[in-house]
Amino acid sequence: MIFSFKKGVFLATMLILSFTLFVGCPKESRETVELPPDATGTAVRGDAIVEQPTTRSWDARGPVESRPSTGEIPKVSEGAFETVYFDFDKYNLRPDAIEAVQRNMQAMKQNDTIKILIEGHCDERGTNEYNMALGMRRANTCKSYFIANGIDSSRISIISYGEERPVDQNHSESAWTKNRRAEFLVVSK
Amino acid sequence: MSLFIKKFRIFLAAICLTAPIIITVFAQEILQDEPRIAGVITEGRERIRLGLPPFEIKKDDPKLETSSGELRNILIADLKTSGIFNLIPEERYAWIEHSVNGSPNFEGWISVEAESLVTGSMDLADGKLVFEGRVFDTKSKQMRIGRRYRGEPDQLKLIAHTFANEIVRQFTGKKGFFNTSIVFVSDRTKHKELYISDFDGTNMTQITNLKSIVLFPSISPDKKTIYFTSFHEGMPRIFKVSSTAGGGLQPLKDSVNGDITPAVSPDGKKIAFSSSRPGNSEIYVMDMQSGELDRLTYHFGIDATPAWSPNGKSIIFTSDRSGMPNLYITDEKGLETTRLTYELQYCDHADWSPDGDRIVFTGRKQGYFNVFVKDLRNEDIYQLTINSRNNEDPSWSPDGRKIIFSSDKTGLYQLYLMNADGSDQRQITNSGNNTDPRWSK
Repeated sequence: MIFSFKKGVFLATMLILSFTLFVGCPKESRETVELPPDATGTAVRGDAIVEQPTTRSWDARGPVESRPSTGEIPKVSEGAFETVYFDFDKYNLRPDAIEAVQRNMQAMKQNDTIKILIEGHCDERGTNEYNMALGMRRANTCKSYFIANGIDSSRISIISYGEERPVDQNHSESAWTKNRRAEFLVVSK
Repeated sequence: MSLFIKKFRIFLAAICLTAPIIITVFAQEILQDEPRIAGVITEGRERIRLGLPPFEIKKDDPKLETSSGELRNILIADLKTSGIFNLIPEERYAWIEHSVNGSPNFEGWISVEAESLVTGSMDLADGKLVFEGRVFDTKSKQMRIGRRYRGEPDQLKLIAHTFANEIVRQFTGKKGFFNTSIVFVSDRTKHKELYISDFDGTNMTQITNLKSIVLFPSISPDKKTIYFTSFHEGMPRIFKVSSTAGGGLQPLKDSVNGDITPAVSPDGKKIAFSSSRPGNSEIYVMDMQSGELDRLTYHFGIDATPAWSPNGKSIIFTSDRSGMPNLYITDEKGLETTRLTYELQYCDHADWSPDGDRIVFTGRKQGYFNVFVKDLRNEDIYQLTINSRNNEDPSWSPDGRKIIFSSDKTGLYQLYLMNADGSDQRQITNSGNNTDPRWSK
């Protein structure tokens, strides 16, 4: 044998690692596209940093008067429930969102007859169609978390408004961050 | 020998380390597919030079003169919109005698470079308009078609459009689209409602007045019914309404909360839509006669916005199963699904061309949405709109020669018509935000 076994293993590992590096590179990294906000909350659109959103320094419920009512669901807004926020194009719960959902769950457990409606919302940047489905997904993610932690599913209903009901109608990174949300409303006590 | 082996090993290690970097760099160049801009989809057909002189007026009546002028203007606008004709400049009509001894002066028309000639006469009989139109070949002096139309004065537009359709059929084999309608969503009343209008945005009628949110219209092939998603009962689901007076509003049977993006099948018997009923957005097809429901997708990702092929055997839909929304194609039972788009980061809202060869869709590139066409025969992709902010919601004309879409390049979203190669964009709405147009047959 020309190569010793150990050195052969070393070379094979290098080859495999190099191969992984090659295969793992996504095409998209070369295009100029919007990137999801990273952990520090800075979102980059194209090549310019647009705005640095702060994390939840505004009233979590948003101004009620900016949302006209649509239909017959009675909404009795309670201060006990927090709005949960999402990353761009995502429906998973990030750590701060999980904490908010857990606090909402506590409120549900403490008032064990309350029924709630979870509204899923998106920012304006996707298509209206996809955003309607994405909003539903965001609401469903919160609902699933509740059910997995023992809340009865009959107490939770969900709805998506897609991008149709923003709390902030500006076209800025800070507006978009506020709009990507799930709101929790008490519908009966 | 051992020195050689040592050097060889170092050499091999160097290759292993640097090769992936080199390959990755080149792979980006090879794999990156730049969608071509504005390809010639009309296959380079030359436009036909057409003369359309003022009509002969058979009775001395100022109203008849006005009607005649109006009819001619509508006809000229329609023929220009068709993209097939090059109407000769208006000033040339003064250069020649139009007719000689009651027949067209063909030599004169040839001299002003008209290959084809449309003549007409207007008359009044018992209060009704009578229009006679003829189309001639100037070189052969042959009459290609002759038509006579009678109608009430308020049917002037209908007469003009019908004759224009016939002229287009004569030259292309396919009837024109000039008395077709478009259905769209507008928030000009401060709420998103359904509207219907002529293909050029005129004759607009508000169909719904639900003062809520109406989205995603789909017209039945017989044009009588519009299916859409509405929030007016609280939870959004699919409703249907009559396209004429907005009567007959009722929910689609068994439609539930979260049913969106309905699409009626080409035979009018089925409806495809996206539903969250299994806890996740999936594509369903409902037989509207039997009520039978088929589920087509079973993937954890979001599946929405289905669109039928003209033969009703395939469905294109949008799915984010690869990470970002892209277009996929499946058969009507959902048995075999293939991915259709790879070149763009985000694709949605596909519409299948009437001849089945192309799909038009919304694609996002460098932050903005634009209208793209994919040729299903050779997989080429063409970008039809560029550098004009967001251009979305495309829909084919019934003859596949034109596309209607929505753009916010003027600030609010307005509807535009354009040729299938991206040329000749024409704005047809100007109030409120107007989106999601669907062109009926």
